[in-house]
Order: sequence, then structure tokens, then C-alpha cells
Amino acid sequence: MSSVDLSEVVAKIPRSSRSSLSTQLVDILLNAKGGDKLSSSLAKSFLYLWQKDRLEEDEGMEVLLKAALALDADATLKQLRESNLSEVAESIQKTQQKR
Amino acid sequence: MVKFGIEFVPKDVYWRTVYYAIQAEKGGFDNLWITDHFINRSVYVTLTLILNYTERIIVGTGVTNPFLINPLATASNIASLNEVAPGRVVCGIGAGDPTTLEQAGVQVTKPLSAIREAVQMINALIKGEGLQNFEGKVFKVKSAKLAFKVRNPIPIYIGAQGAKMLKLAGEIGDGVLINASNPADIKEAVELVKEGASAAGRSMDKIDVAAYTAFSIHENEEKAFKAAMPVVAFIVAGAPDPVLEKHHINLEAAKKIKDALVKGDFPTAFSAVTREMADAFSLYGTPAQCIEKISQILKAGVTQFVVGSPIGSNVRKAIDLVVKEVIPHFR
Repeated sequence: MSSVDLSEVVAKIPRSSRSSLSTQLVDILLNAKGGDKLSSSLAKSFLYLWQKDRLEEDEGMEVLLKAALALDADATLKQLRESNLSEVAESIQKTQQKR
Repeated sequence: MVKFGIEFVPKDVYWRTVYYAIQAEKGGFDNLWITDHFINRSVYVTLTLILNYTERIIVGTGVTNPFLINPLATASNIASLNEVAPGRVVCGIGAGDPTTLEQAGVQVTKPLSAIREAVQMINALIKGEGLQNFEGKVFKVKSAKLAFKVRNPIPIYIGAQGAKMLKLAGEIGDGVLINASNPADIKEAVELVKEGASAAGRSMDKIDVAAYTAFSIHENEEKAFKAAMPVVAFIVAGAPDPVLEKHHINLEAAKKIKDALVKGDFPTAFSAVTREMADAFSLYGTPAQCIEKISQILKAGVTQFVVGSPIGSNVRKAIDLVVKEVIPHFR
């Protein structure tokens, strides 16, 4: 999924949901199998934004979603739906299908 | 005020360990230790990355050993690491994990002399003095000097468990990493460190006394116990009979665990761990239980409490519990 597509998706995530969603996405990242599949640039962006407390900002949510989708797309989409963000999940799925 | 340290085993991809390190620093931990086993990710690569993503926390090897890694190489590695974040690096060194060293075909001979000489060698290089015709019982060096300057002191901590090593740590260490989790064992260990310091005419104020525990925390005590079981199984399997007897642990039960581990039958080994074993060799429980046990340990004269592996079944949540419920109790 391109960063342009994901930035549009991220804009749909309300600020009030971001704290809990970012924690859930971090848990997916930390516990998914095959952590070595995460690209070096994405891993570095993730750590930088975590260090700077910026994971809940647009850029942070985008990196988190991109990373979580790369490691465990099913769990990520499930989490979005459980967080009452079905619209976001559908947008991501549609974009993935187009590709 | 007691310092809190945390230990990570770099067995997972680097970015996960660095994530936890950032979390630990944000949560107020003072020290961070990374284990050094050749089967895992490199301790120095991991520490370099951690230093690059943190601002304050003091980091160190927890612990390296002089048998697999020559002390001259350790001096160079530690000094190079110090350049990344001057003043935030310490060196932890001990006799090493016998199982890993045996796998590597490395013989552990004269561990006391090896540690004494290693500390001497590392200090000589870090302080810029260098070594000329060094003739130790274990190491011999013709001529060695770092080709670069180290601009600040780098404390050396000695990982210790046995009586003689604990005394040696008191005699020559800037710190000691006491490899124990049970308050009675730690109290006994601190006394031995004091003996060593006193014999060398040193004040204990100069020595950071760290209790390096096998730690597991969870809101549910049973889950904390279960997370501790694998680590305890390995400790029980490696403990000599007198140590097991001292803790009233059934030798047959311990043998069953060891045999299962040797066969690679981990489920049998882990499920054979009893509460007595976990009480003897780990510190586990709910936040309130951990606070109570840590309080007992601190009474022994410990200046740093190290939250060691496994930390918890979910490391992120376990660190969060320590940060929100345990550390504030002591500050």
C-alpha cells in the first residue's frame, strides 16, 4: 500500500481512538512472527517516532499501520474493526485488492 | 535512592529490543543490561542502537566473559561504545554461562584469575596506560594499547554468584551484579561483597551493588509464575546439588528437569518447575507481591534492583506494570 493511500486512511482515524489503537498496533508488531520481515527503513521510522512520542500523530499512525500490515495484515484489519474503525479497515482492504 | 535496572536478552530482532529499551528509559529505569551469548544478536550492535535511540539511560554488557571474548577486544568494544554516548556505558563481566561456553568448546579455567586479570587488562586499556609484557595466570599480553583516547571513566561491574567471586567483586569491581533472586541469597551475597571490599580497604559507597534477578510480573500471580517457569527450569538444571539442597529442592525433581532439557523436551522440563523452585530462583508475582519481595532485597544493602529476564509473559505490559506500580513505590 502506498504512503499516499495510507495517509488518506489515517486521516479517517479520530484523535480519540489513536492512543488505544497505537498501543494495539504496537502489540501486533511486538508479538507477530517474522519480525525480521519488517524493512529496515520502516523499523527505523517506527523507533524514531516512538522515541519522540509521535506514534499517535498522522505520520506515526501511518508508520504503525504500514508496519503492522506488513507483519500481520489479518490481525491488523481485525484490530481496526474491533476498534470501531471498520471504514478504515475496508479502505485498506480495497486498496490492497486494487494492487 | 535505589536505582532500577532492566535486562534484555537480544534473542529477537533488534528493533523490538530497542523498542523496550526506549520504553524503559521513558519509564524511569536508570540502567539497562544486554546479555552476551554468541547464540543471540551481538551485544555491542544492540547496545549501539539503544544508545542512538535513548538520551539518558546507562547501558552495559550484562555480562560478557573473558573466555569467549578476549579482554583486549572487550576493552576496544566498550571504549568504542562509549564514544557513541560518553559516560553512559559500563562494562559487566563475569565467568560466563557454562552451558553456552561448553557448546562453543571453550574451557573455563581459573575463573577468579581470569576475571581479575580481565578487569586489570580492560582498565589498563581504557585508562590509556596500556599493557607491556603482562604475565597473568590466564592471559599473557606482549604489548597492547588502544589507538584512541577514552575521555571518561568506564565502570566495571563483576557478575558474581559464588563466594569467592563475590569477594573479588568487592575487592576490585566498581559494581557487582549479584546473580540471585531470593532475598536470603542476596543478603548473604552482599555480606561477601562487603568482606571483599573491607579486606581491600574499600568503602562500599564506591560499589554499586546490583541484585540481578530473574523477574516476572503480572496482575495475575499464576500467570507471573508460569512466565517464570522456563527461566527457573534452566537455573535449576544448572544449579549444583548443594545449592538445590540449601533451598530444600528435591534433587530427583531437579534431575528430571535437567534430563528433559538435555533431550530438548521443554514442555516436560518447564511443567516440572514447582513453586519452591520459583521462589528460590526468581522473583515473581503481582505488583504488590513484587514490591514486598523487592523491599526485602533492598534491606540487604542493594543499590540497584535489576528486573531480569523473563520480565513477564508480555514484555511491554510487564515493563508498564513495573513503571506504573513498582518503581513509584520506591521513589
